[in-house]
Amino acid sequence: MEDEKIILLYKERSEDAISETDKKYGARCRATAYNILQSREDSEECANDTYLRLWNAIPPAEPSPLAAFIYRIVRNIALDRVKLLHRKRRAGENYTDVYSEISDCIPSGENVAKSVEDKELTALIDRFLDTLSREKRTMFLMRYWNFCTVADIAKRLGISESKVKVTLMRTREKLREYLVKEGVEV
Amino acid sequence: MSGYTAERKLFMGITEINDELITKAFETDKKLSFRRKFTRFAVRTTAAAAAAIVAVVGIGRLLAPENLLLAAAAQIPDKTVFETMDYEQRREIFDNADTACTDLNGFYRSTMRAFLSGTEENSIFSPVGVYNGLSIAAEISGGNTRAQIMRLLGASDIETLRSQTRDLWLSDYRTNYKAKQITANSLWLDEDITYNADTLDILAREHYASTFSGKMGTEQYDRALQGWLNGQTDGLLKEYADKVTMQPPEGFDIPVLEIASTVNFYGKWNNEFDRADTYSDIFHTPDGDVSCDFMHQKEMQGRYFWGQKFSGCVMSFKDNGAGIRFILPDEGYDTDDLLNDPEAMCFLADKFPDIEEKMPDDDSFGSKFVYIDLSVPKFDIAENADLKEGLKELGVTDMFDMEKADFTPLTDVPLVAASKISTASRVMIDEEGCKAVSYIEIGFSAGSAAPPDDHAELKLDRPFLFTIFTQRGQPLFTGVVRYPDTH
Repeated sequence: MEDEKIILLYKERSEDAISETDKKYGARCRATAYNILQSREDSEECANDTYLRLWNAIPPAEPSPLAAFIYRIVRNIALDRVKLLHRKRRAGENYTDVYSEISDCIPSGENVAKSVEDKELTALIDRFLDTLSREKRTMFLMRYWNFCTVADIAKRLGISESKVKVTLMRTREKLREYLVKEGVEV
Repeated sequence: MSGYTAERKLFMGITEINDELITKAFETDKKLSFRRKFTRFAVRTTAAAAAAIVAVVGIGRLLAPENLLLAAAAQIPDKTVFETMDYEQRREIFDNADTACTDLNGFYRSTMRAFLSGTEENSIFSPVGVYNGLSIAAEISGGNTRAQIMRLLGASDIETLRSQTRDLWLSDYRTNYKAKQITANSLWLDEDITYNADTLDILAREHYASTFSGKMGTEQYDRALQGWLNGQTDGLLKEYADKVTMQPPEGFDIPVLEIASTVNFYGKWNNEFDRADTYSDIFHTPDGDVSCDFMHQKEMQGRYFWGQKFSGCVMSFKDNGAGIRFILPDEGYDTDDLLNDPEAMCFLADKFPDIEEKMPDDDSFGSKFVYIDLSVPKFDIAENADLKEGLKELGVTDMFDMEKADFTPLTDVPLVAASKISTASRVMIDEEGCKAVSYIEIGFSAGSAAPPDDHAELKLDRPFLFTIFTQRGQPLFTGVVRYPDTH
């Protein structure tokens, strides 16, 4: 079903809205939550919480694109949940790996001249991602936005795990250099 | 600044990247893998094409061993091509198909009026099937013959027509064990006549039409065509298909070509009817009351719609995104009244986004999601019809006139004209779902019904209209049911 029709169903307060959302986006939502939480039960709950938030948000919201709106919600719900687990030292290995890899991109203090606001940082990352080839950008986003495992990325893109690791490492390095060049302190 | 804070800040920076990139993060892994799958697709296409040839020649060998020759195989893309397309490619085809559906609205409405009005019996036909047959006729014709067909189809030029045909085909092609939605086209030629190979190639490539060559007028060749029609329609139109012949009708000396298009649909209801709730009740036919089996659903959540002279509802099918709209005239009106009512025609012929644009603010006609108590007669209706006079009334005249018809893009044989254009269709509805097949063969209340609050009742116990729509809003089958379960 088209997104417009799904939104119409939410506006009509039809419960079909949730089943249609689940049909179209459920698998992706559960996969994202699972990437972060590494628990099928928790990821199922995240997907259900996502539908509840959608139900409460639409109307008045009429998100476009709907996909990104949904993916953000499920990711945020899963991250909130994983933070709780982190404090309890029960966070999944994949999540902690992603978190530590991100630290590779942080410029060291001596090279930076200014501190940026969150929005500026996002704009810089957007621009950086634009400079990447489609394959590298996809890999980066699969890993650091969608928390896919290296093995999963390799399988989906039909390449070796070692190529994924090397490419991600080089991209992190490039992002760090880019932020340094832009004179950014994170 | 602590390391944790910096990581988190960077993390949030990545979180807030623009929506397009996020969508791509979920979708573009398919795009990248598409490139690799595409390599495999080349192999699969060959296999699919070979299978098609074997299947068709198989029919030929069985029924007409010595004469049937497949002159050009339809270059139908492997359905997996569409499934492996990335978001942008699919979106583009969907957008084009949506535009094509809107552009074809005039054609759909005028043919529905022409072919469903004024009869005393059940009437059914496939607007998509007629479109397919006529788009091939446009391709093989020239001059004013083509111009008249194109005007009816609402296409400004032949390139637009080709891309329309392709996008509609790709966007609505479905086949799996739960749902089916397949169209097929073919052209049947005489082995002793020379045809333009470039045109045959265009038909195979742009209209997915297979071309066969054999000895026109022979029983074997007729049986090959009948076999093709029966094969494409699962044998459900056998009583009509077995009578199809390429013998020239009175007034014509030599049979030159035959166009055959089929549509085959199967869908299971999203909400199946419970057999325990099926029981006999009265249907008011034009000839008096008859009893037939009615299926019932209590409090079905669905889209209900209404207008000044009618009410109706939508039932959707699983797995193919298709749906059927039932339109019941209010007391005092009949189905012909609705075929001349602009509001009712919206629900009979338009896709929903287009209808919504036309809905007035005063609720005189509109739609909403409510709980519906629905009673639908089980029916199995089959009809054949001659479309020639109807098309003439719609301005397509030259193709039937030997003096004026221009089919030079296909052949130099003089004085070629379409001698017949007929269609047969069958639609069956029961508790599980709906099966509908069709072929087309071308030889040369007073006052407004108030919108319901949250509950509506709809009992289809007198002649009513229906249209089966594809996911993209193409009217696949449409009809008037005056006598249920007559087949």
